[in-house]
Amino acid sequence: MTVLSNDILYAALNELSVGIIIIDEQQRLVFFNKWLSDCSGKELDDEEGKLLSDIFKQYHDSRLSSACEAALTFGLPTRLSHTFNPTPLPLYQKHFIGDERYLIQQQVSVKNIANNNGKPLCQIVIDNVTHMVKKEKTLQKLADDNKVQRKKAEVANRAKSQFLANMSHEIRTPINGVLGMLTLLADTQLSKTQQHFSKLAKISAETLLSLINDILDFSKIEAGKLEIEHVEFNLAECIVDSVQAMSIKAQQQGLEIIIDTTELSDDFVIGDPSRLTQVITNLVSNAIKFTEQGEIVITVSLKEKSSTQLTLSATVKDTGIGIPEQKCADLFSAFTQVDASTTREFGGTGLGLTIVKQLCQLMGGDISVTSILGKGSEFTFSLDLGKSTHVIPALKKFNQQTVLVFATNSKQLSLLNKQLSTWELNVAISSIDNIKRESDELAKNDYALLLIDESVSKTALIKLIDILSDVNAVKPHVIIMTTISNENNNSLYLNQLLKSGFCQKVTKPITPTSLHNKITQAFDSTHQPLPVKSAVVNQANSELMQNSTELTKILLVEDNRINQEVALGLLRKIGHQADVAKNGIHALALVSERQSTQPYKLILMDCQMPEMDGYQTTMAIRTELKYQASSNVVIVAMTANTMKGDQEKCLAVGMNDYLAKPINPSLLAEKLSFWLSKPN
Amino acid sequence: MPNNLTPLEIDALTEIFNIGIGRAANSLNQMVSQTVDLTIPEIEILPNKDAINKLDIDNSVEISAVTQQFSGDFNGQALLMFSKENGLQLVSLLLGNKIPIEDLSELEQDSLVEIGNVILNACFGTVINFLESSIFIEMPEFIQGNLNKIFTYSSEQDWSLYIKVKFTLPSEKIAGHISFIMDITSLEIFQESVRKFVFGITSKAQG
Repeated sequence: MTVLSNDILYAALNELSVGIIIIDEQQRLVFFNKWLSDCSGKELDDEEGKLLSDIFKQYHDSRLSSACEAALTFGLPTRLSHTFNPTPLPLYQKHFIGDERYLIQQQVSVKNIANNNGKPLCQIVIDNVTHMVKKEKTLQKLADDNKVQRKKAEVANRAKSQFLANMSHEIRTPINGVLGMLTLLADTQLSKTQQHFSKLAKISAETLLSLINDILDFSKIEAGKLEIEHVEFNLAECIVDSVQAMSIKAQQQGLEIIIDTTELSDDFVIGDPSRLTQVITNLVSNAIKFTEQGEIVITVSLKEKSSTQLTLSATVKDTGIGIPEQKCADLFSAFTQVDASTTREFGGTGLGLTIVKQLCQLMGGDISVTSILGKGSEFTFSLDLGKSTHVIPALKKFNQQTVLVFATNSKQLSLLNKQLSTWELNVAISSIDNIKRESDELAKNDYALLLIDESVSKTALIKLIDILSDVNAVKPHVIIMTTISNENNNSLYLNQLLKSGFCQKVTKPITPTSLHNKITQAFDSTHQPLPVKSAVVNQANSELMQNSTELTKILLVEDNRINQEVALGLLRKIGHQADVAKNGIHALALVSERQSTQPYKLILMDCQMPEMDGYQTTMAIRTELKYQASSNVVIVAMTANTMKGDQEKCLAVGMNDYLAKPINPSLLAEKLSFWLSKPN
Repeated sequence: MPNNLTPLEIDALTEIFNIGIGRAANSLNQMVSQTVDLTIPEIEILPNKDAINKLDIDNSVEISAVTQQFSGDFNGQALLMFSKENGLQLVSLLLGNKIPIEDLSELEQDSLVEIGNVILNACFGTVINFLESSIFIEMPEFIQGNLNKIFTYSSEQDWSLYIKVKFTLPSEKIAGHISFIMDITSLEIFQESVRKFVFGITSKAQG
């Protein structure tokens, strides 16, 4: 090794861009390099031999000085990080000595130097980390800013959702007016062209309303404003009703809808029936939309989650166009459909499934999908429900009577088999190819009941009719499963069967309760002639005619002119007339006027009105002495507020019932006939 | 196989290391805003491969460690190890960060080195002070990786003076592990100096 002269070594040390200080055992300065001299403003010649604590006041009693001591006495090396010791010595950028803004950020190493003559020396090496500190500070600030921005964005997003929620509510009101008027318009004298136009206008308005409803729901969920109700309801009924509401459309498309509720262990549960309906409606209507032929099978089952909780799992399986596998994951995110062209072809906001997913999650579950392109999709969702103590007695068993089922759809057949078996019926299933053999069987055997799907082939049906008319012994009961619209190639023969007196029909999709009812009726009504029923209907009709000549029994309280027209029109359609009050005060005047002659039987009450609202009016009628003679009048609320708690509020002030706007004509008819038929 | 230390000797060793580590706690308390308490509940001398098991850290877990080499009367490597998560937590707590950090920046890494340095120096100081050994100690370094990467000095024959360190902060308890990895000769010399030291005190107490 070449031995370097001291001059070279000193020159090298002075060239370094780190600070080097060497001190002796007494912590007196032996050497510092040029870098240190430049940054401290001190000259080696002036300071050499002085105590380091005299040269730098802040060195006294500092961590740096104890580090030097440890190095000198025990030979322990020390690292002083910038974090805990940002500026152990007063060092500044060259030319800015003493200016605190130019203080050098330091990282220090302290180490003893092995020394041949036995006197220990200690070396302090100082790194300038000012740039690194600045860089890290900038990065930290960026990261913090990022967090703040994200938070701001979230707040802004929520505000937007809130705005949307408010707007959607405002938009719904006029659309309801449009829809109502269009319904009434359709019942007036219209030319073919006008009919066509008004029908299109109505479809558009309905679409618009459902879009607005989607956006309203979506923004409510986003804004965290959607609340899940916890009420007791009949689960099977809720599911069946929501599916049935859509089955007309499916049947018009020639789709078979099959609901399997045989795995539902509990009848009543606690949860939010309207949200469950929404989930099912969405999935089933999607399935109908994307399925051209085949079937849609809805299967539901309940599992125990804990002593108070149940988990509902449901699948909606179709034989539709399917979804490409890589798109399945995106399906539930907002504003996506499988591709943009889907939107044009099938319509929709692309919010439906997002809402469904969020609803499922709000109810403690989730949703997933599996699909094969071109074969169909299967959506599976789960949600939590509370257990209810309310139990309805199990449906009556039929004591091993024998049923023969004729149907074409294999899923339908196996479900019927399963369902009928639970009622202790012996089931014989007929595949249609064997109609010859089955009809022979039929001729020979005593079947208590025949269950026939209307879609069986014409030949099979004719053969059946033949056999049935031939059988001289006890004829079996026949139940025909028909679609709601009842338009079928076989109608002629079906009607023939129906007229024969021992035959009834049940509409598809088949539900356990409706099927059970029909079977019970069939077995009970052996000798009941059919005409009786039509006589009852006639009687009811004549009663209605009679009533219309009397004074009106109904008072409509509604401030909005258009809504008045809509409600009156709907009432007229179902054979009712009504007096109109434009607010609460007017209503009270009419009520007291009619008290002496013939008090109103029913009041349809708008809730939000100027001067006196529906709640105040109701309380006045129920409590004030002047209206004593009318205090029992039935009051049905009509309101556009479909928020949670509205219904309770109406009932709390003494109203009897509740109708949400836009008014559903059939629901109105149902409520009126229920309340008007009640004796006072 | 070196002669094992007696339980009494291990007790004495634990005692003197606790004194040393107490000084380290003092230094840490001066450095940071938090109160830190350090204790050594456990010291053991065991083959290096058993010391690895002692750590109870899965090989897939990332470890942050501060290491210092030593030579002289005995040669080897001192390691202070934390699971990466614990290391982050410690730095975070000592710096008084409210937001948990996901990774150590260069400067934060350096602060962990300083903490490790303070603790390891306390241990070295103890050895030098009480056992009157002469050793030369290198600057601390930061290493990160799984156990196999960290235990680089070790061969199958190496031994470990394993010391468990407990950091008690007002809100949290964090465990660190110290290993002084030495070859068998160094270990014998080390044990010998421990025996001498214990003999020294016991004879003083008796006399």
